[in-house]
Amino acid sequence: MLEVQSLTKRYHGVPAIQDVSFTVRPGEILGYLGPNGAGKSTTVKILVGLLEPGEGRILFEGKSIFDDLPAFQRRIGYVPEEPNLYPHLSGREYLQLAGRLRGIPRAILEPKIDQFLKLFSLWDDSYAPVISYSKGMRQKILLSAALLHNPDVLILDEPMSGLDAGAILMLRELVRQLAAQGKIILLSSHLMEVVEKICSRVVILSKGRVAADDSVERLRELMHLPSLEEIFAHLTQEFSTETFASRIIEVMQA
Amino acid sequence: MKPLDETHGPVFELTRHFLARIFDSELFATPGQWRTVATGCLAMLLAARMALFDMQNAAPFRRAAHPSVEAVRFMHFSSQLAPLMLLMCVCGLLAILQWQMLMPSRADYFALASLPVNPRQIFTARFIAFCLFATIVVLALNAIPALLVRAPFASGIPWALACYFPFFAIVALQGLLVNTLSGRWYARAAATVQGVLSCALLLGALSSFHVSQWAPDRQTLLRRFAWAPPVWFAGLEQTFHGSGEPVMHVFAARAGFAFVVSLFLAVLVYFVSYRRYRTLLLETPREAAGARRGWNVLNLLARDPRQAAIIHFMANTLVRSRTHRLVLLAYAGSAAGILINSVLISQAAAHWSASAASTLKFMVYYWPIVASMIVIPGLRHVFRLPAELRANWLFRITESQGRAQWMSAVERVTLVYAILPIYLVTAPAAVAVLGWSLGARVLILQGLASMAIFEALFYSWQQLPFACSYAPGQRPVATILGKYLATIFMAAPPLAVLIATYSQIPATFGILGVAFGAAWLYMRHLRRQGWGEAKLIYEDSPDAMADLGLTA
Repeated sequence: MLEVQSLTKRYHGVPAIQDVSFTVRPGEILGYLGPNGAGKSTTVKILVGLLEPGEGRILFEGKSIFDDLPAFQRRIGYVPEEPNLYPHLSGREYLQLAGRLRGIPRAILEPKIDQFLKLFSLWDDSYAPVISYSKGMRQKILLSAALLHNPDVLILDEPMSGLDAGAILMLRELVRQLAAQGKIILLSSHLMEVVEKICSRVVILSKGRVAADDSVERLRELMHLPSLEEIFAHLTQEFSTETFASRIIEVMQA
Repeated sequence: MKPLDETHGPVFELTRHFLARIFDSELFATPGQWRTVATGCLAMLLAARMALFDMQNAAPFRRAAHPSVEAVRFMHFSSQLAPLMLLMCVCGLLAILQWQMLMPSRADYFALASLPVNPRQIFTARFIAFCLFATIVVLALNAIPALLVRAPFASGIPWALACYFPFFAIVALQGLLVNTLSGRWYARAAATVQGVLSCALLLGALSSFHVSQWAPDRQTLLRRFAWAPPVWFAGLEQTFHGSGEPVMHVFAARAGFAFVVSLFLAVLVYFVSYRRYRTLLLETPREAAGARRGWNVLNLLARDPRQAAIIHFMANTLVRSRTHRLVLLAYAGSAAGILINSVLISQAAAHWSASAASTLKFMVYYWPIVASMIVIPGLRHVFRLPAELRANWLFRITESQGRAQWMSAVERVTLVYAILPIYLVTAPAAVAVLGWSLGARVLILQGLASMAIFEALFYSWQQLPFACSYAPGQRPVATILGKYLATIFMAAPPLAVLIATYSQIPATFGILGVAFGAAWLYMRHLRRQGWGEAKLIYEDSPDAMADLGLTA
């Protein structure tokens, strides 16, 4: 089980997240939602060890991950928000780099890479430099790199970004099956429809604080709203969409 | 509101944009930092130019007590030629450093695609920005010295034209490559041309110090170098000052012709190639990044997957990153220049009568030490330059799983890429010149000295190559260069003499060998203490980095 307890992070005194707490159990897919700048990526970066938390604790299987961060990092797979890859490497070379950094022996790594490249339809481009890849292809490389070592915890920050409709459907099913195998999955996404369909629970962040933490069904009942999209808008938006649109048009026409 | 703050036409706005981003690079990690660096560089150029100005005016009168008119005239010529050659090489190097900026980049086309600007406007703005950059450099180098002499125009114009020439010539060359080669060949040829030119220009810059020592009785050398552009522009300068010598008129005519042709070609290629260049950039299929799967010599360097990851990453970056390759080539060019210059100086010291055998001996004793002193710090500097910094998250989240192996990989790559090539080249020469026994002794001592240099330079190394941000300008460039040159010219000769002397007798070789070996092992032990414990650095700041102060 992954438990985040009262997590707070400030940048130069300005809080990015404040008192954020949630839990993800094995087999559970947690949708981690929030508008731009709400603190989703900050939380994710703390979880994977890229940032240090200011206050609060993160427990994995009952122990603080910071007691033995390397051990925790060995068990996570991470897809970052931006597809930042080394452009001078080919897709295959990038996967080799990721696999080797995780200590996977060559005899196991190479067949795995071959299979991932074939399954993600990247085989023909496996020797082309990443700079020539489309956004979706880069995303597939990042997904492959995150899955290479069969992690117990998957932290996916906008994993569907740039993927075509078919690839999104396949990824949705993949995430579902991984959860069914007992993996802990944290999914941060702006695609409400996908989150609504596959996440057992959602945490909605607003201005760095948790605005909601429950299952989608229960949130619908509590808030008397028909969809996750409307729940999200209700919890996070300052203006109504109509007001926003009319203000934009006013500025355009000024 | 100031006129510059107003919105102007597309070409003006694009020029403003390109000029402000002339130094944009990952090398300047903090936004706006390039301004500090550019100001520092400009100040350094000004200071260096004033020092040169002193030298060029004082030199003829220092060297001869009662010279003939002919001798004074020649000494004046060579004393002008030396700084002129140096300035032309500096301008050429600056143009090569800006190679990618000389024409629009792929990013320019994508970023401007949605805006109402056409390719011709982008090209025009790039050309104007380039001309403004060249003018700033030319003015920094020549404005003040020209004002300090009696005939400012007669002095200033030839020097300014000489400084503009490399800029335009390099643009013309780039345009020629763009228009004559296919997309794939252009990328390869451009990298090679940049490397060769930077080596040649560095060699020229270093040789310029030698030129100022040309004696009046060696006018034949002048005839021998009549093909060299600095000689033409020095002739132009003499002609502007009223020299009646026919040879100077010939040089002046060549200088004028060269300048006009380079300018014409630069303008022509800019306006002829703008369509083709866009196609070349946007439509040429990317080449395969690496070799197909199979045996790789790098596999021999590491068995552990984590070591292999870093070794392959470093090797691929060194081979494929244009910036890193260029900086490495610049160091190789410096090494070649200093080594060749050292032979010229040694021959001059022997009044040009040194035999080939003694020159070879000098090379065998001196070159490996000097090469180590340039190439190892050079590689260390290249390692500090980032490559796609935003992608370093992969290392940050896996660092704790293999920090010690990563450091070991850095060590191996440095040994294989910097130290081993030096000895692969010089070992056969040492054996051929000194024989097996003495050659082996010399090579062992030199090898231990190179290892000690490596240990000293990497003692405080605490980052993964290419994965840490880089903040240049933490120390004045003049200080860094001064330390480099002082180390090379003051430490290398005594070390080479020490090795040459102690390697003659097996007993003394043993003593020095043990001393060098012990020093190396001790330094290695110190460097490896705490390996894999301290966290690596990903943000370069004056507080974060501590080194021995030899590199930028």
